[in-house]
Amino acid sequence: MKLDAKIPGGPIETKWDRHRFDMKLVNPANKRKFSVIVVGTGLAGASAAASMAELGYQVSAFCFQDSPRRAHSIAAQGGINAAKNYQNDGDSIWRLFYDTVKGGDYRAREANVYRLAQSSVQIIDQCVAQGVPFAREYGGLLANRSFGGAQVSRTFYARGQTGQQLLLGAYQALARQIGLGRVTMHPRTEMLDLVVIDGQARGIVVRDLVSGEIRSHAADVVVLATGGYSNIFYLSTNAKGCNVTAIWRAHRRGAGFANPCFTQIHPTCIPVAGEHQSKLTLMSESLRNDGRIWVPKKAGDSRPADQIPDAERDYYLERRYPAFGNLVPRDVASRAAKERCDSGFGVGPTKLGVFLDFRDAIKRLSEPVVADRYGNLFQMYEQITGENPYKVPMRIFPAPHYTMGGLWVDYNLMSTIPGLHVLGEANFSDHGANRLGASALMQGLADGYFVIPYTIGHYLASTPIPKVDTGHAEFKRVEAEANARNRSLLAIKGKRTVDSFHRELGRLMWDNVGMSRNRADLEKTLARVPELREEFWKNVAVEGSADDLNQSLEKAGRVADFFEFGELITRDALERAESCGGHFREEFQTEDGEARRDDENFCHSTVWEWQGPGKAPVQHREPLSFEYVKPSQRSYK
Amino acid sequence: MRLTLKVWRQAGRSARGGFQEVVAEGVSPDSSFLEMLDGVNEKLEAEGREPIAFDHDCREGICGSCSLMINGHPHGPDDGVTTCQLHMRRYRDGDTIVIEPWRARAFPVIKDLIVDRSAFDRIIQVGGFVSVNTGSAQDANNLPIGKEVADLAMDTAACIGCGACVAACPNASAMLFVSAKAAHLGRLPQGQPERHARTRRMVAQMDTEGFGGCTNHGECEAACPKEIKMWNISFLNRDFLQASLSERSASQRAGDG
Amino acid sequence: MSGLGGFYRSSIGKKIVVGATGILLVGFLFVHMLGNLQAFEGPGEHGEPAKLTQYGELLRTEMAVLWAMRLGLLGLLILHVVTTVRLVAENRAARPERYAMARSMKTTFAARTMIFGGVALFAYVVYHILHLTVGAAHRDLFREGDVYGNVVRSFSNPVIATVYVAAMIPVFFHLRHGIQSALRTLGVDHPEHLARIQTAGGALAALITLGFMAVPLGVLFNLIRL
Repeated sequence: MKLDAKIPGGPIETKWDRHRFDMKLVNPANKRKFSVIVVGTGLAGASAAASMAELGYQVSAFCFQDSPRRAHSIAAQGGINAAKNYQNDGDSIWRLFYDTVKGGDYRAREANVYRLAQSSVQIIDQCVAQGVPFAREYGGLLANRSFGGAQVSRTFYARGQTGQQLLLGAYQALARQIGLGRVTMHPRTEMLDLVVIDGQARGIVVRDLVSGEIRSHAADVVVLATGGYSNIFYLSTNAKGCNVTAIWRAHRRGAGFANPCFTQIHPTCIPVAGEHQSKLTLMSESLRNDGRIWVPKKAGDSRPADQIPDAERDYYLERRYPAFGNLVPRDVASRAAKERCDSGFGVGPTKLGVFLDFRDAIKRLSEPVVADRYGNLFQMYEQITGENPYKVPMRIFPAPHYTMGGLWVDYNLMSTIPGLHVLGEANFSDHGANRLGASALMQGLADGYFVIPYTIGHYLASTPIPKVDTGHAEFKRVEAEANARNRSLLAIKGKRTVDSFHRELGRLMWDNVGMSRNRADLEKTLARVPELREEFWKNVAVEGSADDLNQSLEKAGRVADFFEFGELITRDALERAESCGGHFREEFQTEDGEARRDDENFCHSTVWEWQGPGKAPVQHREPLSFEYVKPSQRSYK
Repeated sequence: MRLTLKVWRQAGRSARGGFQEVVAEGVSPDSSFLEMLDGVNEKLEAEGREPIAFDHDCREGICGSCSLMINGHPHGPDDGVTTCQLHMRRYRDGDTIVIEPWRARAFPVIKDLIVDRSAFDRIIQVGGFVSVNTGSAQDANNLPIGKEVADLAMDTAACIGCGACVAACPNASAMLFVSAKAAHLGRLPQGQPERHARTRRMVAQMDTEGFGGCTNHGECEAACPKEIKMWNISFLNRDFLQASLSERSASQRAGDG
Repeated sequence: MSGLGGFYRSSIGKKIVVGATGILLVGFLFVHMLGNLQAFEGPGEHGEPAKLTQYGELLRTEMAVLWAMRLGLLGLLILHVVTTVRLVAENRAARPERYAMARSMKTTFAARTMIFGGVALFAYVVYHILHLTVGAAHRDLFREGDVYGNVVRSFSNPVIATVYVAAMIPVFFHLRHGIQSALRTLGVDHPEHLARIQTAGGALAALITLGFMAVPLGVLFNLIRL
């Protein structure tokens, strides 16, 4: 596997401009002769499919949900960053670039991040033109708020539903192209495998989730925008359907998987209530703008929050990080909460929780102002917990939320398989070891609206692509494999449900490959995952048939892939003997408990190459060089 | 808690369906309605029976996947929430709960509690957008939009496309859904150039899909998990009337030319 | 789909037709009701015909105008009824399979009984025309041209008076939902205006209903006599 990031030369400010000029173009009349498959219709997939169809390519788009509008991007609450500097507070493309590289703990590719910061400006323009109802000031101009990890107000938002509004904008652009006949949409269709012919990605094998039919789709180029893999932890803030299958299957067909151990644990989620729990609910991190996080100073203090006087409260983020206070980046905030709970200061029935208190904000701003800013979040919290956060402080605890790792891509967003492009959370490119708040939406849309429409043309114009259709023997072979896999899952007729296996895997991963990790636990996990996987393949109970709508079978296929992937993520965490961003190895920390990076040995992205079932994957490295933002100990003090 | 569920089971689109009685035991009051169903499904699977098929995904009330008519109420008895946000503390030990799919000609049942809501997508595909290609936008602040207008637009843009309005309406009308999109884009300056064409096309598609008409019962507004208001339907009606008049004069002008 | 045909084929177009004809019919009802109240002026003095009868003659001054108005009203009524029947059929067809359990949350009795109220109202109108316009319903009580006399003679019969009063109950519910519903269909979308319209619509419905009830009750309680 050769890793050529294809980063253009020259100063960072002009790399993308020059690259756009250097790239080959496809003649407008020829564009309709090229076919593109886009898998996933979240921010990245929908924006990519719509933009490429606008250019004239023949696009086929796929999603497992019943409508492209339901992809999980819709659940992003807080906002989207853009270096507009509308607030005149010193923001710039350069500062957004700097913050993102630093926030990612110096494990992202500088050139990609700079392009991301450049594109951020256009994204806001595009979305407003589509009718996205961003929050506005009384004068009619766009409003901004600040977000974790930044000292400027550059976050654009639409109440607590920014992801929804941006996704609906992209969905509507996609719907327009579907209506015009330029995109063929396949909802309730799940990608089960990638088809590679003569070294090029040439199509996918899918299952029609209604009829159960396995079928193939061929194209000149394949784009995966299938999101992240936080659901390996079973309990996460992801939607129930989010899964690793598409990128895992692509990995098995030869795509390098980069930095799988870079997972983000979000600090402000509603704590687990019991065994029945099927998912965790995020409370937007924007709550940290006005809410103050604290635990009692006395361990095991079980007085109600309002009876604990200020002097006996430990506002530990404000104490430890006076400069950023409650607005430290997510990884720092999550670890600090875990540290307090591990030391016995946790609150709530499980003692796995800290307070997020709006008492002072309500005093300072009045209840209606707080309600205007966070009303829907407060309502959601009350619905789930039965507690009123205007009166009682919220209880929060970190939960798996986002995965920075993903398929390795070059500057053109192409994986190690020619023709296979990967966008959004599914790739590894821009966030390094930790993602800043309000940057996921930015990256998804930058990739889809402003990067892939250019780079795909370059690939198509500069690569000979022979004609292939789904009658090709390789399609038939991959279809047969997918069929056989489903039949064997149904034939096991074991005793344990898919969910019980998923819960056990999730628990194992959360305890050992979660917020903090150590060699002994990782080694134990690396041995345990294959045992559990073996039991799964012997004892899982999947009812129903393969020729029908069968949600158990869908889940079983996804969990089976999580079992394979679990090994890779653990191996990667073990291999990376340093702490950086969301990856915290207990052996590598400073005296005051902060992550200690090892730039000498680990200033690279680790890229894994599949070697076949049961064989250890081969490790490759893409060295990272920092010419513009010099790595330093990240400090938010 | 112990609950008796009467659940609609239907093997496929054209199969005949019927109610099945299932007992849910050991239900935690802190679990959500869907988590209660997860538990029932795990039990069914352990007994070698096919689990109940139902649509769900984000489980935080925003994706619009979950549906369910629960004891005659779309998304259950609480205001402003989806089924996935409904919690079992709302029920009492020993309760009987009737669970049905959305019922409308335009939403055919696919299996058990899952219905086909693609009619909503087709309505958006004919006009529920602003025709602006990627890359052709001006600077976002060149178009000031008053806070009030932006807020009104946001109120309707909040629609999650779940179909509860159709499920609740005695006429299975999709007017609240269509009006939400018409009002979202129709109230914003970006939506003005295509406003009339958008309204005409979406209404025509809505009719083609076989939804009923609005008779101002107000059930949709009561059922909407995002509390979208019915006055948007009046907005759509007026817009449609204006659109029809402007279309006539436009075609007459075209005829003169 | 274009032009008038397209407008009428669309669901909203039909709703607008029903709403607009409904509002015009309400206007007719209001004027009719005001005209009726002239019965309280009594039988007429100094050998002059009763005010109500004079009013009847006034309307008949130009038969062409009268017939134009009658045909216009008939046209409105037919359009209103036929379009409603088509809408109801479409609405029923939109839910072929009913819920085993459906609970209403917000709808009113008036809204749910619109179609029944409409049918009752239609039956009443036919009877009313046969009774006081054509004179075919109760030939013994009817004398051509004696409007006031016909009214008083008929309503002195408690059965007929009760039928007339009872018929106004569905009229009230039909108008209470109908007036505000029609205005919403015609596009009144401001939340505050809407609330006012709902109140005003209810009040107008009540006014029209009471106005119509007043005459048969007046006869029955001897306030209006020959």
